[in-house]
Amino acid sequence: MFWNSIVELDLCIGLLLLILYGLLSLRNGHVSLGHIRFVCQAWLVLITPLEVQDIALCVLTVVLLQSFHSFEALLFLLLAYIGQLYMMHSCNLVSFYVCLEAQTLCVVVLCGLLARGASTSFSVEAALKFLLLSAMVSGMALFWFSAMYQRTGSLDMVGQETFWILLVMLFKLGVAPMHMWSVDLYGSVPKSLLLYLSTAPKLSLFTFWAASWHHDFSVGVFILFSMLIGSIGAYGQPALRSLFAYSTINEIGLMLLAVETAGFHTLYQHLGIYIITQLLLWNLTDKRLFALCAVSLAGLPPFAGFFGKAWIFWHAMSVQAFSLLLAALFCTLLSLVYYLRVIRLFWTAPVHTAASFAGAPNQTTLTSACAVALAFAPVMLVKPFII
Amino acid sequence: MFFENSAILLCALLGIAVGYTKSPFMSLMYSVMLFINSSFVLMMLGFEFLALVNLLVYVGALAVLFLFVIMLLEIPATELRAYSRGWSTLGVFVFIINGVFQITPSMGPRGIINGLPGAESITNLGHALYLYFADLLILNSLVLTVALFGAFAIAPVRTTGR
Repeated sequence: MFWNSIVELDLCIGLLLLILYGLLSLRNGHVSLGHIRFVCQAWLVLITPLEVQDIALCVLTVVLLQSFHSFEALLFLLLAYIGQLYMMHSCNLVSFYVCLEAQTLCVVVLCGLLARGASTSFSVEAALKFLLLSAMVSGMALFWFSAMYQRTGSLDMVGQETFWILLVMLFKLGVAPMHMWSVDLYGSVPKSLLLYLSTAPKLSLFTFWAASWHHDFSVGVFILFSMLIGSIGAYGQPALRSLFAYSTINEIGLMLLAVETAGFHTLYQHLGIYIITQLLLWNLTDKRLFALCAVSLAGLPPFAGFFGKAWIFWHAMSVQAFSLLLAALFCTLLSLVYYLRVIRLFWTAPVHTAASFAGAPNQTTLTSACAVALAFAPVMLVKPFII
Repeated sequence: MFFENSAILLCALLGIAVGYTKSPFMSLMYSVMLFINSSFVLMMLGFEFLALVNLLVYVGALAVLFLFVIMLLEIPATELRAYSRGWSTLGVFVFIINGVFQITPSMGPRGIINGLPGAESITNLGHALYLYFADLLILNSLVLTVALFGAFAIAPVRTTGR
């Protein structure tokens, strides 16, 4: 058993070597942060990912590493990457817990670390809130892990305690009614960390759920909660970030619907489109492109967001989950209105718009790649609906 | 069996008492008694290593940490406001509801526990930590390092910038 996991052990040792390299080379005047960042990204790619979800996570992290500007942030992101990679392949409760803590703690520390300038107290407050809530919830999960171990003597995931552990997982995903931390956190975190927070943990948790997590009750209640709160809660929000935090809750509800109807292919597809949309959303400097991105999130054709949602609804219809489907369609309709408000605000672009777009100038390749992907992906996605 | 059960009952009572006092110092004292009691229960169940480690870590490090906090912030002169606002009473109600409605893990039939049957508990712990879950141990050590430095990172910095 030890020799099977020697590959992952190698990842940790590689991370330690990277730390040494970074520390030694920052003393040397000829090596700049860009070089270290390139070595981190190359290390990520050289650890050969074996499955599609691994490759997706690797590519996502490589892209996300580009927007961080300090050495410690890169290290925490790499450790979180190792935790997520383990988690996607774990089938044991202990490894799931350790990897969950690795990823959560790195995000918490990054929230506090990246505070700069005027928003220091906001970031520290957000980091503290997130730390306390997720530590308490992880403690609860650990209690039910040990209860499951006491009852069955095994650390595989069977049994009735899975409900409580599922609550913990849904908390980390940001599902209503446990969503308040994500609304607070989205508003007070720097943009690069927001990019990371809204994409990578969700990918790893959903992959773990689809691969190894078995439970025999439905998450319909959480789907209804998330979609209702996500669609209705965004109406009173004055800030753009909290509006998109509620739209994220809505999207997570939709992905839960995909998991509930066991349509994991639709889950991954919508998750991929959602991740590209989020990368685009928080990187933009052009207001009209932002409006188009909001169109894609709203699920209007011809952008790719429509096809992500349409697949999920199509699969829900084919397994005859009609009540959930009706609720999901209703909530998507409700959420359309605030997207249209965002589109109207940003397309006509009046002078007194309160949003600030201080994006980094080296994001243009990423932005154009994501925009192209969102606009032209429907060509590849539209096939099942035409035939 | 009566002795173990009564020790566990004492644990529960001390746990309630930790939350239901007005003074923080008495709360700390009850928690120290709770830690010693829990290590006593563990020793009765046959987990000698865990009992000693509990005593060392909880009483030796954590209780001393809380004691330092209480000393340095000069808390004994104040009282916990949560008690007088009624939150502690609400907590006791939660305990009572937990007892009435039995929201506890069920004691079903035991499964097969992978360990060495005749070995001591510390041998089993060593096998688990250093053989079966060795890679997770190293990953966990990195996570604990992150937690250690994170405490510095989250604390608000008084200088400008950063």
